[in-house]
Amino acid sequence: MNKLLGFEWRQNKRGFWIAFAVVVLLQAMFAGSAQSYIGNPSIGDMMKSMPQGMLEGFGIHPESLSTYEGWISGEPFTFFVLLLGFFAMNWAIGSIVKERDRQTAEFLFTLPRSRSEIYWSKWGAHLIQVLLVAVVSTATVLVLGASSGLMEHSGAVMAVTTSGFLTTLGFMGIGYALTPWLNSERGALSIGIGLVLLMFLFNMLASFGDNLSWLADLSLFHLFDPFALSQGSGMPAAPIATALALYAAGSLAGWVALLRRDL
Amino acid sequence: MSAIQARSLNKRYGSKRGVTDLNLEVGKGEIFGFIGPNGAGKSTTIRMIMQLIAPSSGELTVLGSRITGDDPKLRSRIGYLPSEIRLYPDLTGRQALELAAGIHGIDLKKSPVLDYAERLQWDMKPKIKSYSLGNRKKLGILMSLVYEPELLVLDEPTSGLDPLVQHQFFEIVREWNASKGTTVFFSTHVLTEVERLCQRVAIIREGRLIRVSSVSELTAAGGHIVEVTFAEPGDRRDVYGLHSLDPAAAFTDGVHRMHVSDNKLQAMLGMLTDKPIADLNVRRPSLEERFMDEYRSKSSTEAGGQ
Repeated sequence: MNKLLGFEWRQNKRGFWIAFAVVVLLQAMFAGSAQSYIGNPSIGDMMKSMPQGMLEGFGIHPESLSTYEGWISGEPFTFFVLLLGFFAMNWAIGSIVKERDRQTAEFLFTLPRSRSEIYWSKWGAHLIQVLLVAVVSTATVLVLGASSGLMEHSGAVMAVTTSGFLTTLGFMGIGYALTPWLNSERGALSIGIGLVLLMFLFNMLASFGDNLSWLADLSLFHLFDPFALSQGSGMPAAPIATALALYAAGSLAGWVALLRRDL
Repeated sequence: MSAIQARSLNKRYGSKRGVTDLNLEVGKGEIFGFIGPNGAGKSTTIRMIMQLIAPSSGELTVLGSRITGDDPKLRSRIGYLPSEIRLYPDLTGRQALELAAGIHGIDLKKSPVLDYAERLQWDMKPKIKSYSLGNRKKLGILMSLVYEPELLVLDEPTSGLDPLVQHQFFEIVREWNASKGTTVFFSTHVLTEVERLCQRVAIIREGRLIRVSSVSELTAAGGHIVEVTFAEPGDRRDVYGLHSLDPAAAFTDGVHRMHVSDNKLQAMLGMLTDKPIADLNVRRPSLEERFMDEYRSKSSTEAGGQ
């Protein structure tokens, strides 16, 4: 199992370091620039002139700009989920299809290792990679918040980033459920990125009016309320259960399909 | 005991056929050739043996285990060389070998495969992405030999290999078969290879087995090919009455070519004794010629039936 896990890690190494650099640097940039936004009256005035729907789509509430925790729950949270979601979804949706498309399945699945072992090794490698990016991003946001003296409730910041991580797991669940059924790696990556982007758009469009609000129910971006979390509301059980159930159900569906499908 | 046994084996891909009603038995320690043109069902059969695809119906037993799904323990006893070997381009050849050895729980340094790498003149340092087809094939061969499989399944193993390396490869396969009793299931459409290496052969056509026999039986059953060059130039078939013994006697590039059954050979040679012969060659038909005969006769039988 360890060898296969290490091998998947190695295959995704480049993607992992790109994801790590992009997500962590962006979060560091957002956390580092918090001082310019928090309590800045000109930013508040600018917000008033912008369409509320678009601001809400990016998770920005005018009142969130009064605290560091609120600031992190806005744009930084949205980009955290969007970017980590892209990468994680691609690792998950690409896990089997990349072997088929690169014609390496013939080697990998004729090794004396079961399909289950191969699948769960890949799954484990992806989970570690996503977890590492999420943990280092969270640590960066906490350290910069503490060093600037702006952060008052580290628990609230952690709740916001944890909800982002759980949302990402939900995306991965969808990816795992789809991966055994696809034949083209490029197609799979397009579907993966497309689904994350579509959910982001649904979330944004849902904020534009009551008649579109139902779209939010189709979006994982709407699973948690990061602003409420930043205000110390605590992690709600239902969204956690939904994200984990989606992750588990998708992972199991992908596993069962892999066991039954011809390669 | 059989190394491979297929009974009424069928594989369909939706409405397309893969193999139909395949009945086959390969004995332990045998070198068995599996021949047929592209798309005949060779790779489909091999992919079922390797559990990449599942039979639609019928039974397939390999090394005493009936294949009912994913069986990694069984695969640990099989060495497999796919026809188009694709591996991870960023690994070096050595890393790929180490990966295969590691997964089989074998120390590469203690495996004979490093000696074989030298015999196949294969450089293991470059990355796989820089390898030619031949070098990828060599790597595939070495990966299938990295542990000691009881059964070697080789799907068109020599494509891309130069003749010297092909010769070395056949030597290695023969050595394994002789010293370790390894069964070799060898699929190809290069019939001379089967003739050189295999004891028995199965011919597959459009998903159905049309013949299984020993290579010598197959060629012996084909009578004799008599090739004659007469001292007098030109086509002498009518003049010497060659059509009376073989109505399909041919004349090409100065050579008269007849295909006669064993019981007509004496008559043919008797007829030639008083003719001015410049060159004479009497031989059994090659496997390729027999293969083509089998194919033609099967096609004409089917056409006649329709």
